[in-house]
Amino acid sequence: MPSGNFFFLQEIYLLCRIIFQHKAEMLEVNLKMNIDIDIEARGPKLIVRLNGELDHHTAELFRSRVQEVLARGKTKKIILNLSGLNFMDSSGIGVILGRYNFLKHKGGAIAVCNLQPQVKKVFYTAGLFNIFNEYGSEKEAIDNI
Amino acid sequence: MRSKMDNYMKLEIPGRSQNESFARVAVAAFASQLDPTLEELSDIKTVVSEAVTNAIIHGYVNEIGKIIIKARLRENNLEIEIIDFGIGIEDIEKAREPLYTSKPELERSGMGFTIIDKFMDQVEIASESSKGTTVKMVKNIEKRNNTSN
Repeated sequence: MPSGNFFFLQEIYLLCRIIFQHKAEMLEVNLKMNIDIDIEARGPKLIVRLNGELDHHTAELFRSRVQEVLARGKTKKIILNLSGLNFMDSSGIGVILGRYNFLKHKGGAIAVCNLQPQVKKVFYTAGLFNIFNEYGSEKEAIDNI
Repeated sequence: MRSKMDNYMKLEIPGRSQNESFARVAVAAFASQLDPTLEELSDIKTVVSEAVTNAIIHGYVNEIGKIIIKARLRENNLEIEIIDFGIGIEDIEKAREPLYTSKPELERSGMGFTIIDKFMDQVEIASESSKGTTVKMVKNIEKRNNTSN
């Protein structure tokens, strides 16, 4: 009987561990959801649509998702559609400049469109409009880059 | 009226990157009592994000340390302090230069303090080696719609 109790308790313990671990993972997923990155490749042009917030926490996801495509070597130019980007800070600048540095050796460029006021101010303050052209729409950016 | 406007808050968080967005939203929500413009609110969110990120990346190396966020509202300004107890900044003047970063390998832009300086009206950085760093920033918020009382 005592050994039966032991196994019963052990089973409850394992069940609890599974439930709580699952909850912890779900929470982790939720925490990571404050950016949505949509990537569309059109030959040498890569359209990246960002929704949410680009800060230190989400910058790594942006870096790895975009870099994964750039590593294939086809992309020369990136169009960043930022219409859904509600917030960006200097961590965003760093990770966008990082992609630019990767492309510039092969004559690459980055264009941006549909910037919200906060993002525009950060871009302007960091002098990014000296490097990246801004367009009024995604189509205009794709046609002119 | 003056004394009514005096208010403060204090927040303590572990230096985890997912707390960056919470910190900036919390301070912005607190600041909304001064009836700031959307641009002023965005500026506040941005500088809190910059200072908290600095504390996480540069203040604490390979550890999750504690960060204290204080905000004080006065009649027409907001004072924010971001405090960490990490390694400290070796050369504050250099850290404030545009494009300077001690961690280029992490794709840091080196624009954090430049943005803070541009967006805020007063900025003071105090730092001591292995004791930590305090970034104190003040933003003037113009009074609007509260001419009565």
